[in-house]
Amino acid sequence: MTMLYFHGTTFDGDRGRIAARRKMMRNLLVALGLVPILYAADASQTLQKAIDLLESKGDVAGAITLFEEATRTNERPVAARALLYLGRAQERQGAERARATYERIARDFGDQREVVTEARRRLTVLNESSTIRSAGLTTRRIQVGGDIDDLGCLSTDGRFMAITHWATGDLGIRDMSSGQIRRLNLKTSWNDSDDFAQGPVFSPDQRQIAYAWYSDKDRFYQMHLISTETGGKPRILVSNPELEYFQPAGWSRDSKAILAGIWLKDRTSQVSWISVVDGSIKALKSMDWRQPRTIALSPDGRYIAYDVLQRQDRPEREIHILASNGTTQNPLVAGPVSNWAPTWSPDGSRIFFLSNQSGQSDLWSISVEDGRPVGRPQIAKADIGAVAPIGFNRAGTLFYVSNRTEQDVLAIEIDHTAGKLRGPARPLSQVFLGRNERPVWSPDNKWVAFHSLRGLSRYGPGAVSLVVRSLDTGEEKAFPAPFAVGQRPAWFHTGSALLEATRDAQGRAAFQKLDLTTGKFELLRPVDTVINSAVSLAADDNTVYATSCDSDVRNCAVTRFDLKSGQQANLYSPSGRSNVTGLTLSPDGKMLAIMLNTRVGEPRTQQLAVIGSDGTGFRILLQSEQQPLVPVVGLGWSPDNRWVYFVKIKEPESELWRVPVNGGVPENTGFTAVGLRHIDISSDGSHLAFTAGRRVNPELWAIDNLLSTARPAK
Amino acid sequence: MIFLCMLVSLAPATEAQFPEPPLGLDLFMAVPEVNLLTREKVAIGRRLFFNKQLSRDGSLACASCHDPARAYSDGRRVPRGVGGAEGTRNSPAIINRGYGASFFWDGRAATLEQQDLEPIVNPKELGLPNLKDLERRAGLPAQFVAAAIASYVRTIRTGASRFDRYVAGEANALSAIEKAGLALFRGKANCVACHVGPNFTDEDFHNTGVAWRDGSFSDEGRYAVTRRQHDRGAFKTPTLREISRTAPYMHDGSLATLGDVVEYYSSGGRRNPHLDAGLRPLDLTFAEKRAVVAFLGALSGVIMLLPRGGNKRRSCGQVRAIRRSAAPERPAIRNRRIANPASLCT
Repeated sequence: MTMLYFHGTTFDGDRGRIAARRKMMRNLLVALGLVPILYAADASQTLQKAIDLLESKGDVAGAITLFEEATRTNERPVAARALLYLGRAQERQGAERARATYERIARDFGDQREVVTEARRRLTVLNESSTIRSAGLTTRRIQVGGDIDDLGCLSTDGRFMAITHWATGDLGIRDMSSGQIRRLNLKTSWNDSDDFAQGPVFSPDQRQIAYAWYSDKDRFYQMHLISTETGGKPRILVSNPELEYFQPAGWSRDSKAILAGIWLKDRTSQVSWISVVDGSIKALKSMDWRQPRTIALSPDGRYIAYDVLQRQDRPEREIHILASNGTTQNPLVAGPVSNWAPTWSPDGSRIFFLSNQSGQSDLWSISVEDGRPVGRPQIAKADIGAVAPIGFNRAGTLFYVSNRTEQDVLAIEIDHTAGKLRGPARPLSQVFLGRNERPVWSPDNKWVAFHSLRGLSRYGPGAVSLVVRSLDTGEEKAFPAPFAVGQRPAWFHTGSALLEATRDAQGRAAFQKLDLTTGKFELLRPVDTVINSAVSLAADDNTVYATSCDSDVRNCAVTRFDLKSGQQANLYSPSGRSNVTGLTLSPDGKMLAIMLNTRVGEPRTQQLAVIGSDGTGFRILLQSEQQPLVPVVGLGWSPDNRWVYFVKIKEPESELWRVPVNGGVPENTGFTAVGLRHIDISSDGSHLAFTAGRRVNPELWAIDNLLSTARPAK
Repeated sequence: MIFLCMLVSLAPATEAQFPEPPLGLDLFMAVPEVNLLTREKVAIGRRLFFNKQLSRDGSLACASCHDPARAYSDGRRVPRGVGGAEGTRNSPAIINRGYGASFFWDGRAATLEQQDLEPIVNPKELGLPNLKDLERRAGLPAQFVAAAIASYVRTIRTGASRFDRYVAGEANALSAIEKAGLALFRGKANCVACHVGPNFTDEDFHNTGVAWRDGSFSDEGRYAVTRRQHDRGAFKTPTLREISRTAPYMHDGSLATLGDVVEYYSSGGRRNPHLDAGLRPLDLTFAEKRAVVAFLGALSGVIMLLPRGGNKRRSCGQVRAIRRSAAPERPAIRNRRIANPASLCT
């Protein structure tokens, strides 16, 4: 043993000798047998208990005690995981201790790559603390949660930020010094309508705001103007069904035109000027389906920096500088990596942008002159995270929004006889914590598939990875989806492939098959409708059940698709006020549980119903009469086809319920979790998988002194 | 003479103020820095474009196969060159080509400057034996001829069609059947998969099966350029602007009418080993086919020939004056003589 141990080992003073002795002792114990294994098993159990306390009960203090206990094990994978969870629990009490824990992981557990990666990610999110000072920069966290809008706009003097007040859909103006928000009273609440304002930009004199207005009645966006004075009436500048979406980006210096990204009905986009006088549009540059995300007008109004996908089926972006009169265009930075979110410095001499060329999301800057880059880009702040820059104030402070996700996929034992859940919920993935959702069991229950938001953007190609994880070995395979996937996948019964309802950049819907062996997606069948629910795949691996809707998602039906023939048939199309919003096939394939909501604009009600998979025998199991409505989401079947499980969305924690299929009173299982949704019951009925946690928790940050640290171009 | 012409070709990169493009087109058009648009160069390019002395027997000009009256196409299945020689591919309508990313049906030219001399020396087209002969006939260096013709072609822009007016908010600019055709174009027929953007082309290459005849490709298409298998039988997506004026259709002119084209795509194209994955039978009804054809008719608009002033024929003295004004900044070109200066300033 000793010989084996010392072979090839070098020592570095006392620390090395002590470590060597410890390691030798451990190896000896391992060689002798049981003790360490038992100890590791204890630590794993302790860790599991702690996770349960944290995730299900919200007992942070109790969880921290147990996590700390679990970290003392000599089993490094368990210790590393315990530390990671310890950090997450500590985050709820403040960033400082969590930061130290993550730094310890990064320093001491280099052999635990996945955990270290996650720890570094958390460090990025925390940005070390709410205020840090390094390399002359000061980074401040201004606000967590609440009225933060990553499409907000800073006034030229930096005193105000125009935002969407997402609690109502109204426009608001935030006083940057006091944090107070003054609403412009376009609407009072979501009960008024599902209309909302988006992407406001101040006019140069700050007396007007241009913004996009989503008209739910029309199902497209309009361009509006409004005075920043209280009581101003909006003026519709453009309302054209051929132009579906506007992203205002700035005003011309003379206030006669508004720069905007416009999405046309064919989902192509263009950067355009919109006349403030008559709403006429001049297209500067069209961009097929490689949609721009950030469009930034230089302070002097002469140039426009924008980012655009390099390819419509890839997540990488590139930045160009376009003359605002359309005469020239130059690339800002070249390369196969992704560069995005350009932001002009207040004097227009530099462009700051995000880049992943180091493998993480860093803030860079480069000098520009006459619409061209000058010199080489230089890093301004490393590892800033996937943030959305808002802009600079005159003092040179850069404001940005960090959209943190806090959702994970978990599993818990379920007892269908008692209708209760047992034991702690345990996470189904150990990496990319806070980014995972929509779990679904494999047919043999040895794997779980889920979606993970691993891209640098929350939307577009590459934003979501399809992940499959072995429950036996913990092996995990991730497959970035080159298109949008918004619904839970279904397993083919061979267990070697997943069925996904997808939508590409052109807006074309399809069923795609992900071969888990090759990692390749195969187009199975284009779909002319919008798939608006999780897909259920029958045992023949050919018949698909899903909710399909018309293009504006006003009329949805329970639809059966035949993948081979391409035929589709609506099994149930609700008449009148109701619409189908969710669907799940029973284990025996004979019934569908469906969710019905009243259409937007009607008094809202909700029904949970079942229908035969041949479209016959529609029966309502549950009808919501409570007002305000308690929204119900997520459907799952017990393995004996006797119960339908569902989630009632409540604050602070949602509840898991079930209702008998043959009629009867719904039962509360007593299980609750924050943001509980996307439930799936394993085919043996032993476990429930689900998503829990908040999808987005935005934070507003600022970095001071960025400009003074940026070196002039040589 | 040639000296002065070279001076113009090396003119500083100053952008002339040209009128804005017609409705529906982008303000931004990528123009090579070495050949920025100037009114003078465009005017010279126009004259070259219509100059029959640039063909071997003096019978043809660029405009013979790119006739403005036919939206800069020729109405033939394949073009006729000098001596009645038949070409192999349909004359494309050279409208809005300033927005193009590559040129010829197989995309073998990366710029208009690379493209526009090739037909002049192609034995089946204008048939000049070589570029020296071109220079002799034009009285201009070949490089300048290429630059000038490319500049002229960049000014051939068409837009302001009824479709453009409809998209701009004029709801009645399209008839009911044309609107139905537009919905099909974007939806069931999925024409927009390739015919996208202001110019109705993705500037990419697709195998639609047209070249697949009797179990082999009658024309290798893009493959001849890239040597990639999946490019076999692939051709560049043409613009659909002015499409009702540019029959016959496809790279080989094999389909006589727009109805034939819609019928071809409705049936899913001709199956072959490299058929574009986006092609599948559309099963359009008779009424749907009619609607798509009707919509395509709404893509005809106004062809902007030249910016105002550029059409004016300048006297030879004026041209010389223009050139002289730029002379002091130019490097001298020596030891170049042309035996027979062309008729540029006749």
